[in-house]
Amino acid sequence: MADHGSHARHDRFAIADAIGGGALPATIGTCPACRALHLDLLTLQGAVRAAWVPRRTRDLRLTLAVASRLQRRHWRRLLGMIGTPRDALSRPLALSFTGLGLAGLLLTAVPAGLPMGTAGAAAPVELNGAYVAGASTASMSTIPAPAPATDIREEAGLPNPLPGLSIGLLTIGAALFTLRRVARRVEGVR
Amino acid sequence: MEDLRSTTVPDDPVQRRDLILIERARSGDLDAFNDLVILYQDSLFALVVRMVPDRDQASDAVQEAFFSAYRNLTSFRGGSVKSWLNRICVNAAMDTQRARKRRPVQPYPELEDEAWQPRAGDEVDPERIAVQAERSRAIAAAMSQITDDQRTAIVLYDVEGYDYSEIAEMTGVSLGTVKSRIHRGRLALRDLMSDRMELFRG
Repeated sequence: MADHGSHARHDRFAIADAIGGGALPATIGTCPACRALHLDLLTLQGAVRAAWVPRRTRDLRLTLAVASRLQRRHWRRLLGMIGTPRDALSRPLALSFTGLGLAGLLLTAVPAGLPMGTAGAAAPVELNGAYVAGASTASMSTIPAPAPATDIREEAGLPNPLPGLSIGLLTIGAALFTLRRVARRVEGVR
Repeated sequence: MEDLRSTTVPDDPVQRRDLILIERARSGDLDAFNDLVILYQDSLFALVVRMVPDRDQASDAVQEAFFSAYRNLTSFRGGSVKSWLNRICVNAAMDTQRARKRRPVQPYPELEDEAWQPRAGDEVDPERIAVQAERSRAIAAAMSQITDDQRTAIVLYDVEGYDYSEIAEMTGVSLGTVKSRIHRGRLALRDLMSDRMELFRG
């Protein structure tokens, strides 16, 4: 006689596997609880197959207007997809571009003399006449670090690319948001 | 345009009929496509409403699938039109499931009595109809409580008769994941129905 208390240790997964054609576990022959589980799973499989389904709520035939809309050019179809539930890309992209653009503008607006690092980072250290941020004093003594790119650019008389890049990203983000709005209005998406 | 009849076996009258309709639809005959819609909208809705247990969302998903089929008529490469439409519908249903996850709405609604659709050939004995309606309601309620992935795998395996590898290909996961989803889903269903199993005996 099987120990009924041991059922908790029996492999329920193997019993479920047996429903789909897997090998019958030996416990089905020895443990009444396993046998009952097997029977219930078989019963439920039949019940799922036999279950009625709710009625369809509407006729799904295509109207002439819909059919002609579906035959549009590729770019119109692409526009039609933007902002729909299937479109999982345009919103996060727009948010990312806008966020990066705003962050870039903020960084540009911060005065150059302000320390940007966190408490754990080392303060800027003067080395060969240039400021190097985030380097430890120990490493300073041995490795001569290059001057920051911004300083090199300033020395060469080149403009800082950050403001332009930020405005570009911000514009792309805003354009994507606008495109979504236009697409949803054109396509009648809720 | 490719002649589908020359590349497929036209022995099955249903397939032959479907291929003729597809070919006419590809040449611009909307009525031919709508004949396909009439032929398959009920079975496709039955498939999708099991995966997405909300009648309106299921209708939307099947409608979207027919739109997709119409747009991609040229990509149909012969074989069974029903299988082709089934696959498009499964994709549309999974899209709907993903959209529900992103924008959760209200939980699956309770269905009214008149919403149920007895299958063709089911008995007319009022008592048996009442029992079957009660069973269907209980199964639908339990199915709506397991995960979307488990429900999809169980419906495709138990109701639609696809094998594990076909389901793996359709849902884009490994064979082991499909088996695991089905087994876990079955066990979850049994746990949910443990106090209602008497309804299904006898």
